[in-house]
Amino acid sequence: MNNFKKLLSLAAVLALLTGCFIPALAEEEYADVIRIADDNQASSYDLHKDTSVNARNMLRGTVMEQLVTLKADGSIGPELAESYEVNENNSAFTFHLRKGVRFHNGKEMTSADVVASLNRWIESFSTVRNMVGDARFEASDDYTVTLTLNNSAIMLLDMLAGAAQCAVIYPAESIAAVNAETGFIPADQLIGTGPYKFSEWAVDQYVKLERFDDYAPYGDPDAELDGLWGYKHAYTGTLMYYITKDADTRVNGLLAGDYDFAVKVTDANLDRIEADDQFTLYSQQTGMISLVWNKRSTDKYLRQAVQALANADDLNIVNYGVLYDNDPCFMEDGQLGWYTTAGSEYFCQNDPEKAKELLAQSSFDTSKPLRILYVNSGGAPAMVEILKQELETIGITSELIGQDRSTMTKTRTDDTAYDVFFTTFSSVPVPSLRSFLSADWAGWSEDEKLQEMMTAMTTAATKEEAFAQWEKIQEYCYADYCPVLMLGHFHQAAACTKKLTGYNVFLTTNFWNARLAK
Amino acid sequence: MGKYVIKRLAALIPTIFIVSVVVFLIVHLTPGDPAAMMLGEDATPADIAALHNRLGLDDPLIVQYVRWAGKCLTGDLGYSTAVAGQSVSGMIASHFLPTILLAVYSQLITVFLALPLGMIAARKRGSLTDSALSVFSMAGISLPSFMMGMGMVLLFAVSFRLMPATGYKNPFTDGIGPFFRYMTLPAVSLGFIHAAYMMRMTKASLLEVLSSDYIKMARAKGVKERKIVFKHAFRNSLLTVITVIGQGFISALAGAAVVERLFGIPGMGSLMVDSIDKRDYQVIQGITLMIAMLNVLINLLIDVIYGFADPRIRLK
Repeated sequence: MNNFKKLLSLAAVLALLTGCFIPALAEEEYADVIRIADDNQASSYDLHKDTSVNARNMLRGTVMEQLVTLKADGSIGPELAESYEVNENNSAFTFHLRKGVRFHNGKEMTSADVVASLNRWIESFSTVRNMVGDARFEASDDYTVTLTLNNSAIMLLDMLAGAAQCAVIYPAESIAAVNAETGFIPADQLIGTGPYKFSEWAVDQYVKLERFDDYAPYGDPDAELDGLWGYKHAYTGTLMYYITKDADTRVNGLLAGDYDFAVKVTDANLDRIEADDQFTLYSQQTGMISLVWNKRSTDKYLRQAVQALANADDLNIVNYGVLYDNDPCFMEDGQLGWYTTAGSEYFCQNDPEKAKELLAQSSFDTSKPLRILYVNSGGAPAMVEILKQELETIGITSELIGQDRSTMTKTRTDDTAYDVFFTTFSSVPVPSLRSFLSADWAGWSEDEKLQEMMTAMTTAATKEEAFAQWEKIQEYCYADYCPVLMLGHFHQAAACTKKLTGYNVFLTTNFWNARLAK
Repeated sequence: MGKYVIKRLAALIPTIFIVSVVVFLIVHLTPGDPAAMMLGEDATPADIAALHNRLGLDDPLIVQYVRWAGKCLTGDLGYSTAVAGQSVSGMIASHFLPTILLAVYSQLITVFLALPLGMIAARKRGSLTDSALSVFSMAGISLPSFMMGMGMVLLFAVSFRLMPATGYKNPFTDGIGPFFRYMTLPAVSLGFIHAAYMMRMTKASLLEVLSSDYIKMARAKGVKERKIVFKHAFRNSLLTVITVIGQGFISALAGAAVVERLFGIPGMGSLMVDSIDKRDYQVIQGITLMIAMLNVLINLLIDVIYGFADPRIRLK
């Protein structure tokens, strides 16, 4: 009997150990903080006003969510919406909201919050205003919102789901708290429905995001994320984004164990990380590299000549090392819904003879220099120097106008100051947001045919028709109009310790389901 | 002395006025557009024009200056355009602490390293020790602070993991231990070059004093060498050293930008560089005014210390 009691006691102790201690040990296998070295801070983190990559990569889907979001194949999935309906001619949109979704301030999300947020979103971006005209979101009941337009808006869902001009949902109180002078939502009112709360912003030091315990997830908890869509576990208690502006410092911090993840690893640092088997390195297409022509000072034959002449590898390698693709599409390769290689045969042909023939048809006066405007920091000066040498082979001299970024941003709005400027563009969810295709953006693509094609694309009846139209636009840009000298796409590399797992890479890196082994 | 200090403080007023006009004009006449920088790459001309109007950037320069100067007189330095909702005074306050702590720490390292070594070099002039110290000081002067910093990061942070490679801890909220852990590499990087310079100045100044007649007299009277150096010579060589410390402190404040960026310290240098990059007019103006005031005050402080070190200056 005594032995039996001893056995029972032992069994009880074992049960206790199994029931209490082992899960506890399992929980302790993961750190409660992930330290991310970010390259800059945003000006406000108010995603309706701040389109910076830093703001949207950190907050979209993490702190604030959208009615709909992007799946890996480019299709749209409901996020804060339970479901949505669009009429046949894409002019009436109805969104049925999920019930029981709470904001970080404890309030349940209703149609009043969605209407306030999305109408502010419309007011914030002229591209959206142009698309919807005077129409605004309206609440049908507490959990249904509608938008009825006078015209077809085939790209509206993509824009609502997209990552560039984030249509995130704030509580109506945050919208009401907008600072009248700055136009931004104050940092303490940056409230969303996401799995993490915007907890603290120490300017120039860090941003702290803390897990939101009342988060209402959607999707299958056992399934992987599909693009940006799916179940968010928020395993880690705190995400710390340290503002570390120097690229070498970010890598040093990672290698020294100060950080677990580092963004924007430069080509010069790749070898250092690859040499250490404790770290993982990866990269993804993040934006396009180009020279934007001033169409008011150049003719299409000159632009075609330079396109025929340019050698993309020679130009890109001096700036990006191995972190680029000679990919001709004006959209990124991850944007499957809009990816096309139409017109790619005209992409940087490296054909001086053809270039000379085209130049002969141009009205460009070769006794005068071609004025090339660029930012005189980073790799741009080396790129334009190579271009200058290439242009000399067909008899074009160049005047290189190097300026700091702020001055250059101003100069490029003066159509008498330059002939072409070097820049990069970050990802946009729909082609109509590519600013170099716009008639009123720097470079001025005022070509009537192009603008008619753009209108036909944005008002197409179906996505298939819009995509077909987009292919025609890209073909026309390469074969005839040449608004930009397209050089390819740059990659952004990121590195992390191999102890970090579960992060999701789609358009950027998301830490919703990331875990850091101790 | 009191009158002198008041007179020097009163001289601050025209200095600050001139600095404010000059910096305002330079900042506003430099090409670039804060509205365009705020709204980002894809902003349309209409959006930029609307923001211009809201920020008052379309008003004549004189109107903008009077509006800004008037607010400054009430202690309101305005708001940053690069970081929403942040007052300039708040940003200066939060960024000033790391910089001043870095400058003080680096100057302490400088003084504790340079004075004894300078004195040793002077006392052992021509010896192997003197030659070794000369090599040390030449290396210090020749080595840029960023290179020194990078070398130390690679050695102490990346290879041996003894110190953090980057970051900043506030000694008042995070504790003094973490502060020293994070700040030692940057302070040494910044202080080393000044230490080398100060060591040479200390040596030169001390040698000059040691060759003067009253020292020869002391030696002839049989005063011990240690007493001659520490009591009679060192104090008289202090004037040069104090000047170097003052200059070193100002250069540490001004030159901290590179070290701050290298070590991820959120200081004034870093803030200034970013503000210029983003054409954050109010912040640039606020920082420049503050640095001008600081320069005047530090120079005043040095003059006052001169008086304590050398009573003859006080009498004059």
